[in-house]
Amino acid sequence: MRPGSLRRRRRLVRLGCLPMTCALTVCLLLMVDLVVISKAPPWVINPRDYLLGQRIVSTLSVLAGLNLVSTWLLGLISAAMAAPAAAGQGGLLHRRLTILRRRTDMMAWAVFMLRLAFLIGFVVAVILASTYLTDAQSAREINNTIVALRQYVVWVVFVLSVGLAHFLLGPFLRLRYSMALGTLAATWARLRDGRIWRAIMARTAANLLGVVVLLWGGSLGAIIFATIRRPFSRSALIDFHRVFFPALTVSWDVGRMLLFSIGVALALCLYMIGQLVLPPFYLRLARRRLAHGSQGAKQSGRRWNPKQIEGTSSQSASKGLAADIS
Amino acid sequence: MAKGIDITLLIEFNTMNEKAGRFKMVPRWARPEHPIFWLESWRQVRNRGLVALQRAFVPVLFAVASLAVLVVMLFSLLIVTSGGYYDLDSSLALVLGFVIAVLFCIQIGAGGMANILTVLLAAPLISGEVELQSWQLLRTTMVSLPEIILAKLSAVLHELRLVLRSVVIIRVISTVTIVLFFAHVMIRQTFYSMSAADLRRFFFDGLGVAYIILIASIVSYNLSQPVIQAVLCGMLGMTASAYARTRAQAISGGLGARLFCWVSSTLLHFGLAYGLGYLFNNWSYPAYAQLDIFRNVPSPTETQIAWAACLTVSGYLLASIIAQVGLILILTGLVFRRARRLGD
Repeated sequence: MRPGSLRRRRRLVRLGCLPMTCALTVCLLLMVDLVVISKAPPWVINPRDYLLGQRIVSTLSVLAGLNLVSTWLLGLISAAMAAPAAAGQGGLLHRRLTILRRRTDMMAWAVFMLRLAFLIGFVVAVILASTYLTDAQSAREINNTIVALRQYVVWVVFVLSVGLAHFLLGPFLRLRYSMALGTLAATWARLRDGRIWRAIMARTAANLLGVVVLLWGGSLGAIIFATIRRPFSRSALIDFHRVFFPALTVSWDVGRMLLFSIGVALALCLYMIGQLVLPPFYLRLARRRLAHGSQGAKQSGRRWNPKQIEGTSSQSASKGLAADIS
Repeated sequence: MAKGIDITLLIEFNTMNEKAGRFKMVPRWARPEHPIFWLESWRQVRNRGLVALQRAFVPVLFAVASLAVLVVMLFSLLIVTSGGYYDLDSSLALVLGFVIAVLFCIQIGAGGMANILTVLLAAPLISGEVELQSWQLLRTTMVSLPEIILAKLSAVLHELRLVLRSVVIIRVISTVTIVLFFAHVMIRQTFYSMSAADLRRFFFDGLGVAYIILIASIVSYNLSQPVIQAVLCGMLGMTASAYARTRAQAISGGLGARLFCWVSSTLLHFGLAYGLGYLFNNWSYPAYAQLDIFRNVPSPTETQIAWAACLTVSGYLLASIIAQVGLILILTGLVFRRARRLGD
């Protein structure tokens, strides 16, 4: 490898991905926790507790923001990187994607580390909030809630396990899904340099679709839920959390939160099933499209077909994988 | 495309499409095998700056829309929870209201950008031919003048199909969100507080029909706008192109005309909305009417007021669509007239 070559630069970016993420996160956290939140305002009675609470909130906010941005970027970059795999007749697609996946794996691990850091921070914050930062009455209420929740331990475990699985496996599932989506979208490109744009477009469209499904599904669900709960202003109110969780009489918020969490966990299950099932389907579709594209090109003599995908002949496959996907 | 057209391949492509049953409903000048359409669609690809702009448009629009909607949803939920007010109905109304406002801003920005792109691509179509002295040559072919102009315009719209589709997608999202908001207001606020007798009256007196007409007109207006605006901007660019001597003049003239249309239509809409609102208020409350004509009119019932409001808004939106279509037809006539004289 020549010094300063494209391959060397790519390798540097790949290797530097994890340390750079760690360094950026630590720098941001230090800046926010030590520089921005350095002094408690004069009206605060207990400055030490106030500073601790503020720093916990800011740390979690910074980590959540970084998580969101990095997850979004991971999807875009992996889709764009998978786009050049849509070349040839589709026979080598699996091998091309394996090579590309190896190149992008580090980014998924970086996002995983960020998520792990958020999770650790969250657990620490919950422990601190429930023990150190709360008064005796709140601590008693928390204790009562935990005791009441023990009766529905199956649901609590279900919610926690689905949430954890989605949170920690999310980057890898997203990487797999985005690469398959990027490859499929790239088969629609007319020219070679248009593949990356198609892949990015497909990824952003998938993001938009997700947000829209969340908005419409949530709104429709809320309207239906509220209408069943109380159809008219004069009718009696049906409290679903009391119907499903009669033992949770400690606080109405806990029952409602548990019901809401179960709904979210079920939606997350569906989302994860989609992320697992759709990539093989996309790849099969991409392979079929590539094969048909090259057949069509052969039939029309590869002279005039504005819709044809460049590099779909058998010649491009023999040029070698490395040259094609670079 | 300087390499020339292989006629045998064109015919082959044409028969392939005919056999596949594609473009059956599409007029001849809007099909890819039409020589003028084909020439123009390949010429558009050459400008790298415009191609980059077109390619970046869709991902940027989708990314901005998804991030904005997500952030707005989170922020409105934060506002609701920070106030300690957990009412599901009010929270949903707040979230949907904010999202509609944000989507409205995004669709205006995206629509404006798409309009500018359309004018930029359409403006050099005739002036470029005149400048390159190929217009006379084009007129000597068997293709008629209206077909030349319409094929050029449809090539531009075909080139911008992804951009236009993305704008339509954003419009569809905002429209469905508006319908959801309307459904929420009707179900959880209007019907919620009605007695059984009021509900019966609402459905059997036909007031529901008025609301359906209103929603249908809003939906059709919102969804038809990207297509109408694209054709209008294309015709504006073509008009500027037919009247200008150079491509630069045509582009600046087209953009200026588009700006004039924006400003004048905004002023006209505000003026008309204010005038209609003023007349409507005078008619619905004759006791407080400022105009003498309305003082002796009997006071309308609530059902009549609701019908009048729904029909006024629907009629206004329909009139706007008709006015835009009329403007397109006038511009088409102007382009035909001027282009016919260019050859003399």
